[in-house]
Amino acid sequence: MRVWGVAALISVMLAAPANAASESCSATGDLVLAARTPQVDLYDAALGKRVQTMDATKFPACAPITGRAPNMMLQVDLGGKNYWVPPYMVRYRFAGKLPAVCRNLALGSNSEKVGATRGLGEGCPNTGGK
Amino acid sequence: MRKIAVLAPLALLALATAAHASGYPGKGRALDTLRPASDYSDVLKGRPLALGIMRTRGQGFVPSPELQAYVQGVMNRLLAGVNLPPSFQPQIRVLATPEFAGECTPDGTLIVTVGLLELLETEDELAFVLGHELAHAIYRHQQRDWFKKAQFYAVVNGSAVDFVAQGNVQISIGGNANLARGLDVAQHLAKLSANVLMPQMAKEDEDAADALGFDLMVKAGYDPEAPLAVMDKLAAQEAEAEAAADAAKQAAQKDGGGSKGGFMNVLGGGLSIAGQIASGGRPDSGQVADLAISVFDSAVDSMAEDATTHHPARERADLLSAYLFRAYRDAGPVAPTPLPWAPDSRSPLKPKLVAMFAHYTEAENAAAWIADPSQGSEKSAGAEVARAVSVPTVDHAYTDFVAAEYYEGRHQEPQSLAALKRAADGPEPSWEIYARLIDRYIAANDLVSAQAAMDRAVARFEDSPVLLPKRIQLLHLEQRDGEAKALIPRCKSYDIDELTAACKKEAG
Repeated sequence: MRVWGVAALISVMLAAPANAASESCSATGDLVLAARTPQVDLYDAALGKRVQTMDATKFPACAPITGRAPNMMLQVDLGGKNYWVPPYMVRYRFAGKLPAVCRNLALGSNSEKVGATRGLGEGCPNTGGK
Repeated sequence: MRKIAVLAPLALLALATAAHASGYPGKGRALDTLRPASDYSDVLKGRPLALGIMRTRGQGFVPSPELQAYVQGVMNRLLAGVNLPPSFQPQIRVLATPEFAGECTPDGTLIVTVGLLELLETEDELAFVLGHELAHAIYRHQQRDWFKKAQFYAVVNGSAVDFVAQGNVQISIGGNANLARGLDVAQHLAKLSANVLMPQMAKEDEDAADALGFDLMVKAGYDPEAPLAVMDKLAAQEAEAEAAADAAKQAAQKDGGGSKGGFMNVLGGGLSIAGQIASGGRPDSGQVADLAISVFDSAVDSMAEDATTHHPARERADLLSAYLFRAYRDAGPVAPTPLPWAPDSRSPLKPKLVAMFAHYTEAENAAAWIADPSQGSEKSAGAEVARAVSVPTVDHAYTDFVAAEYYEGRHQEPQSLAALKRAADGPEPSWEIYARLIDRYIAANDLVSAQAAMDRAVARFEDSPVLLPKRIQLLHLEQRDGEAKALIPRCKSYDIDELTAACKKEAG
């Protein structure tokens, strides 16, 4: 009844869904590639209110991600204006490593983990976790 | 842009169809239509055996009452208000291994690993993992042959990894460069083979568990975005495993592919090498390299077959996305709950759990250096080992095992033996601890101590079949051949051909 997969490696490179949108989006950087659900709800803050809804067909491709909240909401630049979108509603791709959320740094944060569990705490401030 | 817009509705239509056929409810929420079994007593009967099997994996269970109570508390929160019979008695165990894994044994024991807890970022993510596993228990998802497969995995993987690693330590003393590679292979093997050999759920069951697990966590007030974050992490793990498999395959081809004939032939080779070590001899580098390559090659081949039934995290994320959109769109964002060992936690458990996880992290780092000297340094590994075996993890099997390996590689036998003894006397020793301790006694020709340690292991691991080959080996060395051969029928009783072969080989 194994469920989650096994590898011990903590690479946080985000493997966003590979699809046509991913391949057609040539821009670099952290991007929302396209809508994943028929409509996308836009919020005014990561824990804010829904301020707008866009049909998937009208949601722009390759929108730059400008922020990521602790609850994983993505801040997206849509036509020069920033909104927050739930990640389940969009396909996204991070260039390289997932932006550090830095929530879980108690695990020996004075040094980055190496080898089989590398990645934890990379890019986060040293909080002196031990 | 235009192409995406045209394709999107078709893709979504396909997704909706897939969701219906995949184990997700066709309409409504899984929790609303849940019909639990009226009685779970029958599956509880298998608990002792299931726990016995799991305890022989990795470095056993983590002996931390605080961590146990915390994870159990999250599970209880998920179950609050869910109408289940008294005989439904799920429980939690934390397995001491850096693997990223969550499992549910047939009796309803939810297994989470240290590696998983290290990687999860919020309690909400943990809640989804536990909710998913709880769903398997509630639905009674279980493979009919779970016990046999899990036992097979425990026997084969435990022994093979142990012997590969053991052989490499010996070669290290001889200054052979194959040490690092072999131990590295052993670590990769542990990752791959668990993925390959452990029983897998059907896709439909995984999806049903995702749906109900999601319902449970949202009902409990957790962040509905957390499952997507878990799927992202799982996708990254899958990508790593795939890359490792490719690299292994290339390495195996480059080196000639090693021996053929299946996993247990490889294990037989490992036992042979162990015999050499036990008798004071040293295997040559070619033997160990061949063993490592063969084990890896076999695992990779199995993984290729398994790929046909694997349910990738990306697919699961898409199905979850469709479910969220249909059933939970109005739920709104929720502030996540920090894990008690996170910097922003105010949990009273924080001091103890921070210290404990920090020590596991340091032991993992030291293990990485032992396997691959390019990762870290000898100086840092020494400091990490010293801290890892201090309070509160002074007698934890994982930290002491790494310490024993470190000291052994530095020819510090007394310190190495002390670490093994500490863990063997600790609250949750692993079979690997006992196996290594017994090997040390055998190498020192102290068969009395070896047998005493084996007797304790038999008691502590509920007479697990994983122990049988080494039990027979030891009896044979003690010239108690009658008793050794008397164990052969027990080996056969598990109906694992490879186990029987290994037992016969050791019995001479």
